[in-house]
Amino acid sequence: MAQPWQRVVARELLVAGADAIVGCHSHLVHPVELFDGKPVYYCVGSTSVPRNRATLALTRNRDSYRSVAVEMVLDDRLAMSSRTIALDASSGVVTESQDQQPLPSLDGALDSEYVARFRVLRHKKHVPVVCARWSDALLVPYVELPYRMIALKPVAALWHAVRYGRARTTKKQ
Amino acid sequence: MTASGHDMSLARFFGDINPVGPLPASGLFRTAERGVGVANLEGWLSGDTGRPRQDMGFTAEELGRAVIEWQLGAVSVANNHVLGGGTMRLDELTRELDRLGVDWFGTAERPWTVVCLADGSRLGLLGFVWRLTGIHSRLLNLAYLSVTRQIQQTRQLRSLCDFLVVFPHWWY
Repeated sequence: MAQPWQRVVARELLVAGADAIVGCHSHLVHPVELFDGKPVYYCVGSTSVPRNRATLALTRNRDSYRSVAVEMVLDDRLAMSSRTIALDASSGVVTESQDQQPLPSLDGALDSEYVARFRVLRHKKHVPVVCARWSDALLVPYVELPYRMIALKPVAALWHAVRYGRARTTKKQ
Repeated sequence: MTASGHDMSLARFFGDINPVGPLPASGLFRTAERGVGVANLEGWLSGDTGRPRQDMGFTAEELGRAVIEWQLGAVSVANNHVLGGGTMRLDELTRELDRLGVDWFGTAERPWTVVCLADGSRLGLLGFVWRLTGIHSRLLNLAYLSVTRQIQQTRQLRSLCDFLVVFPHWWY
């Protein structure tokens, strides 16, 4: 499922002039949503699926994991519309799947209802819910903590070097 | 064509392509009306040609094949893996993409590209990567919680193209 924040941002981008949004990153296919007839594909999946909590939960049921391509088409009235093409990577090469099913849709879901539903259904419970409200600013330090730990790696390396030096000095004595 | 009554394909969008996963079959991005294939290139141009590798570097050969066999016309480099080989590798990647004639977008310097389609219409592509995916380099078109800059970019790009698709690399 898409973060509630993404729904708000998607709407702002469409209002600013975008005709469609096609997102990626989370390696899983998310539902599609239409705002004023313009499609938002929050995530179209990926061919490479890392083993994490969310992907494991979904890939247990083989049919539930799919990757899709989105095709933008121009109709008779010169208006842009879109359709999804389900992909199959089970043979080791990504091809069009024989089983072309439509993506689930979020159309009509109210923001507050969606946030409540998202809190229950999301797989990554450890990740805070970002709702595009002022309170999100409070979440940033928490969300960024793993990245700050990575930034501290050189400090850890220095600490190990000091320990190693001390150990060698002690050994010589 | 639309004049004859059927829909015309403008573009096919694919998610992340990286060299550690299964790669697309030949011609997967090809559309009937010579539309453009667009994907997110998760990786850099690696000098290491051996396989299998753990890193996400494309060899120049793989990248060339991506363009010719998969019929990729434009790629976004806005993702949290593209700087895994350092900024020099990103430079090499974009130079190679230029050499191959592939439009690329998603950096701070080039957040968008406008692709001219076979029917003469212009397709605008805007790419950005969200900060909380783990990337922090301002070399890329980096989006924070507010996404203010990307909204301004969308407004600017709107005037330069007939169709505009935003291609974000975002959570969750």
